[in-house]
Amino acid sequence: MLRTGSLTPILLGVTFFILGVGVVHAASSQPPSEEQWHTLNNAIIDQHVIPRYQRLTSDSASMSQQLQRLCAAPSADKLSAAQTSYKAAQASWQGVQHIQFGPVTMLMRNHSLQYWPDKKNTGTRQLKSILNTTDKTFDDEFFRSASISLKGFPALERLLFAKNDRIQNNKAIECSLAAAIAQHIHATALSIQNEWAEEARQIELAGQEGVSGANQAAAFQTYEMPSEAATEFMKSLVEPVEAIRDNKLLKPLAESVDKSRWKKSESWRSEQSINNIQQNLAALHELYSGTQPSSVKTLLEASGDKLNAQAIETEFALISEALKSVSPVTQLNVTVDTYQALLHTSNQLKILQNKLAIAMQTLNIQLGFNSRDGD
Amino acid sequence: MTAINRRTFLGWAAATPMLLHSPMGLAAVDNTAAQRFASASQAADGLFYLYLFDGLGQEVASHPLPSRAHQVIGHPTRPWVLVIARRPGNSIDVFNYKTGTLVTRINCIHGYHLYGHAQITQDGHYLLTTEKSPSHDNGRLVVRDITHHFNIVNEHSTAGIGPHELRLTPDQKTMVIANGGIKTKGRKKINLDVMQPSLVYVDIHSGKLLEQVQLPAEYHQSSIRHLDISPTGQVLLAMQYQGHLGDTVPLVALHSRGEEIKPLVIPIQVNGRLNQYCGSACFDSTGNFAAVSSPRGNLITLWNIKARQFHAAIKVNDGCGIAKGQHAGEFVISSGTGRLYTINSQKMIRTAIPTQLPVKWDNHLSPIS
Repeated sequence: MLRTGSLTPILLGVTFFILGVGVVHAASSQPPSEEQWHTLNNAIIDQHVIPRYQRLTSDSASMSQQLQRLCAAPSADKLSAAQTSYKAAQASWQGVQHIQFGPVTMLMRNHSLQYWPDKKNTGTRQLKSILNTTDKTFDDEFFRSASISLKGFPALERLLFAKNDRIQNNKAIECSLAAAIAQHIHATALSIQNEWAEEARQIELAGQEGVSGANQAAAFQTYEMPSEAATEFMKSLVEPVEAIRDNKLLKPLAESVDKSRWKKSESWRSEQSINNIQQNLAALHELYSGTQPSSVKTLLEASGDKLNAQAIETEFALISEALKSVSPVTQLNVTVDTYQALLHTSNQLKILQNKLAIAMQTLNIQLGFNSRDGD
Repeated sequence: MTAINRRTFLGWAAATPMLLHSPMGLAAVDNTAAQRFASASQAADGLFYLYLFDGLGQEVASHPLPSRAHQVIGHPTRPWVLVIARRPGNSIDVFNYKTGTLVTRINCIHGYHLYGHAQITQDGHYLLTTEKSPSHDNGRLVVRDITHHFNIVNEHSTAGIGPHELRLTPDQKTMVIANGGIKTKGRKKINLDVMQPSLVYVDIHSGKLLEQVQLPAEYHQSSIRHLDISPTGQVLLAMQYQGHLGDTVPLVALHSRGEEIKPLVIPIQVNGRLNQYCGSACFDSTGNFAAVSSPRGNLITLWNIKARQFHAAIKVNDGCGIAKGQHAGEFVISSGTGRLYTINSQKMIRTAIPTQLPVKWDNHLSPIS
């Protein structure tokens, strides 16, 4: 059976319902070539992914050092320095949190770096249980068998920003566990950063014929074509927008300012929940238009959708600007102004989400069909 | 932290020596072009179509569908395929692929909806579907007489909420049903905190519940959704966990009558990549090997059933549909990107089938005899 009409695939899914105008527009577009995707992949790896993992490695190393200093000879100043270093490392993580494929998914390291949202309060229960033991050694063996909720930023935040001052006792299990978690985060970040060399090689191989090895099995590549690898980067750009809106904003904001539940926000103990979102958006913005000589934005323009390309750029800028003026929520107290500002941000994110969905259609990127079905 | 060699599980090197060196179970007679497969799909025009194609990826027949569909099954004696609407759809298109005509469109009773799956008895007499009735919390196993205009002749309880895939046992007397446990309103899940999935065996004539098994309570959010049954009656389960993506829970399991559900161990390097979601389960032609798709992880996991062991994981982007191939350890895979592959789990070779059909293949792929 033959059918006529646009061959541009139409994105499906509840969250990416496309307006009719997008379909019409896409019909006249020219999606990027495999060569263009190849160039973009390299730019994203070199200028976005690797530097961000390097920053996480570096900031987590500093955090680990600060924790060691704190535990060696605790003081209020050293605790403050450790908390500051935690905020920097966490901000670095938030700047690369959107990459949810490749080495970070090995051994669930994406979830062990940050087990969140923790709907069943697993982290609190596991932490309480560990803190009740007195003779625990927090070595590699411990982390191999420990609950995933004990290995990352949320557990460390609970220890570093606890209302009690037990972490200021260098004999306390709290301090040795916190130092061990900080070191584990650093080791994890370093491993992921190093493993990106192989991931980058696999992405580079995409689309190449006659891969060395010459037997049948060697022809089996991780990514068949550059566009397949690029799809992973496009997922990293598009999918977090909805997750930020739903999990980081709408859940804690709830139905009204009176009913807001800021403890549902991502990092309320360290009062970094809003900063996290700023870091997320800055990273997504960079992934969209911050790479050279090729970016998602330039490919979108080259595909014939300059209007939407600019609209997305503007949306990112507007959201970032608006977020700058939102004060951190302290003492779990969400003011009316903050509530309204964050609600406005969530609305802006919805607009951004729709524009990105149309962009993916123009770029002929299918973010998932079966993987988004849920049956 | 020890550096991890990712290729040790993502590629062919993950195969265990035992399986790699085991002899082929069947003579390798190639009649690829004569094979027939069917799947629902979405085409570039955004509409939904049934496609039948041969082992070379060439179109045999196609048929436009009223809405998105899920599973497609073949009639055992007539040149018909039945296309079951995706949850919460309520129609089944019966399509004659020799004449290219719609035989009939079966509609559910008013207020009922389908769960996307059906089975036909080997004698071609009865069509059985999992359905939701507005007046029962538990699902319904609805029996239609194919020889009498698909009239409903019986209706039984599935003894659980949210039934999904179902398979007849080799003796054709019992239906094995995966009760996913999830209560839905439209497609919204509304009981995740208290869901209770189960696997049930129901006598298709009397409706008697012959056996019901569940995973331990701590895994109550592992929704049992898809299954396959081997020639000996062993059941392979593919699950979808509704809890945190970082939790370690069973996603693949085996069950035999009278026993507990036995989860299969997925290596930790692979487990985290599956994103808690398995889409299709399929035994090979011998029942000794199996494949389970994980479209959210872009992986197909391969299993040595005799040893109850993980064998390997092969990358297939958005791969979900699995049908058994001609030979031992061989599977045909369809993906949401429109690709088709043959996977030989013994030789660990993934071969692209050079199809030009411009569609996204929907969740399930069925061999049509």
